[in-house]
Amino acid sequence: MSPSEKDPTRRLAARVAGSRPNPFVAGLKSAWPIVTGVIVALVLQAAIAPMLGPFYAKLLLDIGIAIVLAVSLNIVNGFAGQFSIGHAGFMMVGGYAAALITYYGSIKLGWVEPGAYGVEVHGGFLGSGDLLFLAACVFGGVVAALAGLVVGLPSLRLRGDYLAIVTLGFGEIVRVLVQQTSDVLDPTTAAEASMLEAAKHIGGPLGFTGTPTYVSPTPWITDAAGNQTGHAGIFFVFTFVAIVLVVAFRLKISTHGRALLAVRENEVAAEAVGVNTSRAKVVAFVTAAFFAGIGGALYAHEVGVTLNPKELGFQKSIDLVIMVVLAGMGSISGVVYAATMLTILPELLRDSAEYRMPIYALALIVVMIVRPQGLFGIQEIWELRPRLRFLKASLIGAAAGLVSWQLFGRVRIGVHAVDSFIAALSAIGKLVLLGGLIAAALFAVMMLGGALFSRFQSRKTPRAIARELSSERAGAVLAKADDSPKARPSDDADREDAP
Amino acid sequence: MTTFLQTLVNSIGLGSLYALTALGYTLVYGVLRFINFAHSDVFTVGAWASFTLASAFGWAATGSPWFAMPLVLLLAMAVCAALGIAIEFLAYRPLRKAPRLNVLITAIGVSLFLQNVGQLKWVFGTQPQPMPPLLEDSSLAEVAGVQIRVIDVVVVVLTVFLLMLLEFLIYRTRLGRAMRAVSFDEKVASLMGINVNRIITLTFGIGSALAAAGGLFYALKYTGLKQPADATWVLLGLKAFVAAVVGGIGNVRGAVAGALLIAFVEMFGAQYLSPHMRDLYVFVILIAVLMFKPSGLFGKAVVEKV
Repeated sequence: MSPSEKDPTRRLAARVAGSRPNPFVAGLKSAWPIVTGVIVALVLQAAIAPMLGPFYAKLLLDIGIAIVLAVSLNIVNGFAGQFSIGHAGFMMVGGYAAALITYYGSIKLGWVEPGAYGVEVHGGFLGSGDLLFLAACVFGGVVAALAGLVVGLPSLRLRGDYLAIVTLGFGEIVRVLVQQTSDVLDPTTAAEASMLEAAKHIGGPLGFTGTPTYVSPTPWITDAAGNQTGHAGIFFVFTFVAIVLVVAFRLKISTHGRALLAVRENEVAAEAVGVNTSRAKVVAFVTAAFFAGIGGALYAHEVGVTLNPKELGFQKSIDLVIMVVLAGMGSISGVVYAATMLTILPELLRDSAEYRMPIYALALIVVMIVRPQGLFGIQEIWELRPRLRFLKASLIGAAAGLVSWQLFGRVRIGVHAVDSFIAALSAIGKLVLLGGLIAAALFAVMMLGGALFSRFQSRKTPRAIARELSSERAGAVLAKADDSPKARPSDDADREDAP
Repeated sequence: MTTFLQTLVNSIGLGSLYALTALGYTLVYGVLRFINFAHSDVFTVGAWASFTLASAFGWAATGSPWFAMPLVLLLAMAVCAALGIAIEFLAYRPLRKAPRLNVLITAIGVSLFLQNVGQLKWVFGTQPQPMPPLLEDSSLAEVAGVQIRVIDVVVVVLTVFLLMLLEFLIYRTRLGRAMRAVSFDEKVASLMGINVNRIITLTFGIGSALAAAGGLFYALKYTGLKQPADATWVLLGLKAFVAAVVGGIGNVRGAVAGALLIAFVEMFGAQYLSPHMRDLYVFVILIAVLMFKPSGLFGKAVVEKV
């Protein structure tokens, strides 16, 4: 046997190279998640939203936007471990940039009747208005990405708490700057003003009023007379959700994502194994800011939302941080789950909204002490190993939620403070029930899917080959250790890396 | 010239408030090497607690006797010291060995918790409240057209007194020596027979008591108390934090110098450039300092050991 065949690394390389699919198949494989996402978005828009009614359709929109924002924050906080608490700042940059394009752009393009108060949605599905809106979203993302570059650069010198403060400072600076701007120009005035002049009139402390509501939950139907109701907001939001999810997943399992995780775990060690940590950190910031900008753009055009510097302050950033931290920093499915749950929660807690934030804060502290890596850690939901146990746990959780919902839903003491607390417990019970059922369904699907997949899987995946080889190698190392005299116990083991 | 002097006087008043709060950040950073995000909320609790105390004594309407202000000051300091110690014991002590990111997130959690519990109806409520005047708000003297208010004088004198007390505590007592030892090297300090946990707890108590004093003075100076979760408090805490960083975090004298610098920049910027951008100047300074001299103006650069 020649030495090259003996070397397991070379054999692995050869076998992985042999199992590499051709570019055409690889291209299709890359495209199918996005295609599926777009189809799901279309189904949500055309079939599910009309069934849900306006209230739940709006909730669906909120959930979608929250997912875009939380997953983007997960890239920088979860993957790269660069703790950013100014994400709402990126959102604000993207939102205002996009609103500038759709509002003043619509006026410049002459889509607004003279004397009209606000700017209306223009054109049909994927018509010129929608194209302008999509372009505005991308523009918002790009502007936010530039801001991300500006914030990412100091991150090269700072770590941990200092970086958190700088991102916070960035968010505040953006807020203060936006508050200095003047009121939005009305369409008649705006038609004559230059775009540079328009950029100075983005609402100031009152907010950017009158943005066209491209992101509306009203089911989009064209009746026989050709009149259109609502707009394809859900479709657009969930298309962006699909894109951000695919990008995040592919980033996580790629070399770049592994580099980010290495930076998160130990920056010095990452540098030592050849990761360009500066590049990795800036890439994380720019990517996260890009999608935060898109999230902000979607938010800016949502029905019932006025783009307002007050709304997008520190509190908003913290809401997003809670979604990422509670779910587990680095787990994309976990963050999606948390974003969904924490968007539904305030609706359930309507009666006792004052208890929402204390409960969030307490949950944050308790999770950090009891389970520092967050609920899911870095694992995706389907990677959690003893799935049967998790399935049981989520079913038990759901049952407990049901009991607490029903029990606390009936008890009233008569003292307002106590009653609203009990109402909060009841609402949380409801949420736990919902969360437990969703989690149980997910685990069941994963188990079924896993069983089916392993049955039909014919070719070994590179991962399986690697696992096999590593066990071979472990055997070789053990055999070698038996031959050699007894190994000296390592005296490095109890050395602590004290700062 | 009068405007210039008036701004100078105002900034010394504001700077002393920042200094009291910045010291809390710096002391805690000295012993635990982390930024106590919840500190600004201890400041808020200090302000609100002194409001609650002053109203409970019924001095709001009648006008206050001479001992009102020292009494409220001592009580508020005691309340906040207890709060700081409780926070350290319940939230930070279980995380002594955890990664710094976890401690940071916990600190943010504690901060949110304090803000939002303070908002509850049976705590401080969501309404802004007027602070009872514990001191006569009159002009003490007028030098060259510059108004010097009684409150400003009292605040500055008391701040200087507290700072001297702290200086004495840190550099002249056994406790202070223990604090400096823990700050220098926790492990060696514990080998020398210092009870590190007790020192950390005491440090939190001292920092929180100073924040309470800052809170009371703030409430006396700017009498409209905003609701506990208002952004004003967060911003105030941030500025104090910036002061600590600019002075070199972990450095007690640096924190005072940084606080004065921040107050000067803010006040003069507001006076001579644009009053709307006053928050901006502070953050620009912060980012500039962190970019070019992350250890602060008076701090020592720390080389990270692997």
